[in-house]
Amino acid sequence: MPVTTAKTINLIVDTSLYPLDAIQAAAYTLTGRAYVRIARSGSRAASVTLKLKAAGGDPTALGDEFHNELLHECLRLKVSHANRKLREYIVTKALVSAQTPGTPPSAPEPAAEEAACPECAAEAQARAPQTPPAAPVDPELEKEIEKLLREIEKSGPAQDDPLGVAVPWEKKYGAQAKKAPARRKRSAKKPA
Amino acid sequence: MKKTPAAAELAPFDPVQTGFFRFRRMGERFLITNDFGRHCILSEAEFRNFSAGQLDEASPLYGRLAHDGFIRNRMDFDSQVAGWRSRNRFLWQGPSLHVVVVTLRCNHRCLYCQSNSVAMSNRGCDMSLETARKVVDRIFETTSPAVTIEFQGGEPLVNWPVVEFIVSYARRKNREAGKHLWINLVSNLSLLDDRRLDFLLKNQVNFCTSLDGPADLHNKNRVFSGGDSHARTVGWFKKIYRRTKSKMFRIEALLTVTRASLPRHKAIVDQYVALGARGVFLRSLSPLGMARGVWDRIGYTAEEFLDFYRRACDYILEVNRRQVFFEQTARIFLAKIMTDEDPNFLDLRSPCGAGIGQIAYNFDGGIYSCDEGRMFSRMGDESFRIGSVHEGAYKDSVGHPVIRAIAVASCLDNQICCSSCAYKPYCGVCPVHCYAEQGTIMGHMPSSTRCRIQKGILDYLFEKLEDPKTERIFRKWLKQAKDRISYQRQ
Repeated sequence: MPVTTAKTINLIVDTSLYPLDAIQAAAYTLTGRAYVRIARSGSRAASVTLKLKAAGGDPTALGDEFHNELLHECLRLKVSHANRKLREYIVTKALVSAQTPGTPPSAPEPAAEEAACPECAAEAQARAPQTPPAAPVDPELEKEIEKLLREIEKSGPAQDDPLGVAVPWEKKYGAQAKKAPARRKRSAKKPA
Repeated sequence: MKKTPAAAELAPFDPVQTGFFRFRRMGERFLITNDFGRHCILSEAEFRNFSAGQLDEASPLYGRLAHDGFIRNRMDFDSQVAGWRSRNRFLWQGPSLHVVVVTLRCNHRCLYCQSNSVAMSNRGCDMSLETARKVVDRIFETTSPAVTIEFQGGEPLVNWPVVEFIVSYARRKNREAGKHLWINLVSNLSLLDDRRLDFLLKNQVNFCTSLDGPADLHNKNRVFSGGDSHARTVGWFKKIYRRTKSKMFRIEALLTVTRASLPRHKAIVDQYVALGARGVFLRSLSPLGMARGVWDRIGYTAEEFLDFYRRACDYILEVNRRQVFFEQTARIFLAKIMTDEDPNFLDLRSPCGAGIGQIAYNFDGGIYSCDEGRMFSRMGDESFRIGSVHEGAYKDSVGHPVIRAIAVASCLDNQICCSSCAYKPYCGVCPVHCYAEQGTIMGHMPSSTRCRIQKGILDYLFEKLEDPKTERIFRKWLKQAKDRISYQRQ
């Protein structure tokens, strides 16, 4: 049961149901309006204290909001963990292919075997809220990402500036400058 | 009484079928977005079924979600990779916007002046011709194939010889460099004359001025000892508008919303429509420069601004029954929401444009991460200085630790609330604004005024996008933007 005073509410959250990452993220969203303290409460629970910054607020409503946000954060964690490798693959491939315009590296599509991945199947079955699911592991995808990451590391003149942003125009393009592709940037005008 | 979480909040998740998504509750519905900027608005039941991987594969909704990269085992990787690359292409370009402050002197005393301009007698705050030449030389070292030189101040026309020199020298230098060169003059226009106008038009300079609405409101905000600021601005606006009507370089006006503007949304929009403007840019105040000192008089809360914004946009949509007339913030967001092209508005991207999209050059040759960073210098804080045209090299500035820190701070993946926000694909943080408001470049989004304003505007736009008639109007706004962008200056 939550313990409430005029400006404060203390909630005990079962950490076997809600991951600590989700508890922290949900509490953080309220830090504009409340001071937050998170502490251990026994071996399977966390104590969350929310203290309103301004007078006149309702700490019970704040606690309710925290609980709903906690559910949101649990779902976000699961979605994020399950798709981490896939997102890394897409971003890495986009970054590598952009370094050699017109010749994006060919790479086998990942996830062909993911549907059959035992970890995924187990996760889909369980759908337990205790901990975020581990990202499905595909050895081919792992290898491909590693390869692409190695290419990025090798490709720049220095690891310090892999995209060559700091290389002066003349040095980068030289006589080719006139043939450089066109792209217009939008300005950020300020009041006169 | 304690609220019971809605069923959708307890949605199960299928890690095999359901791809990555972010979500936001919109009343009884859910907005979902993904890394490719695609979005869909779902009912609670649809959201639950989508998350649980239980949508009917034969349904149009499933088809749409699969096409947009929300269904994990139906991903078209080549298409998604190309989409991601297209939306983030600014990462490979380097600084394109170069803000040049040719003087800090100004003949206006605007209540909200971000630049902390100085009196007209203070000639020590003008850029010299020697510094101007070094600035242009440094600008042309940028890796970006497109360059926009933007004159800011103070009032740039106060130091006309340097404006004239930079325009001529940059055009001449570009004959060698072969970049796509754009030049913008941000001016109150009060010091313009026909000879200067002829020179600027001959050199295809774009004009941007400030117009805060009808005369009484404009003159209250923009105090001008030399007479009627509104009359001069409107007079020159009309003249330049006529002379550039058939051209692709043109004049635009910007509005800064103060507390006095809040009840005047109709009068402001009517003023812009009457002038023949294509749209209006409803911009909230920044807590920089003089605005910071008089915030109690001219400032407002995020909620007050959003109330104004919604009323003004509702009225603009009424105007669109007669003619196409857009709101610029909305148009920037809509381009990100409804197309795969990012308009590269430097304050609304991840990471922001500071140092890697724009650079600001002060009158004395000092180089800053961005114009906002340069404004801090006027407040006695040199935190955003990244070099000088008189020493060091281009690489030292763009690779400066300050730029790296700003890039980290403005990368939304590093921001706790932003990384999981449904509006992440469309939004951006300004570390300088965070520094001004909260004392840290990392910012704290749960208490950020700017964050509340951006979210409020996006809430409004997604709400309006559900109405097919309004969506058609929004598409017309984007078509206008496309027409403009397709032009390339030779």
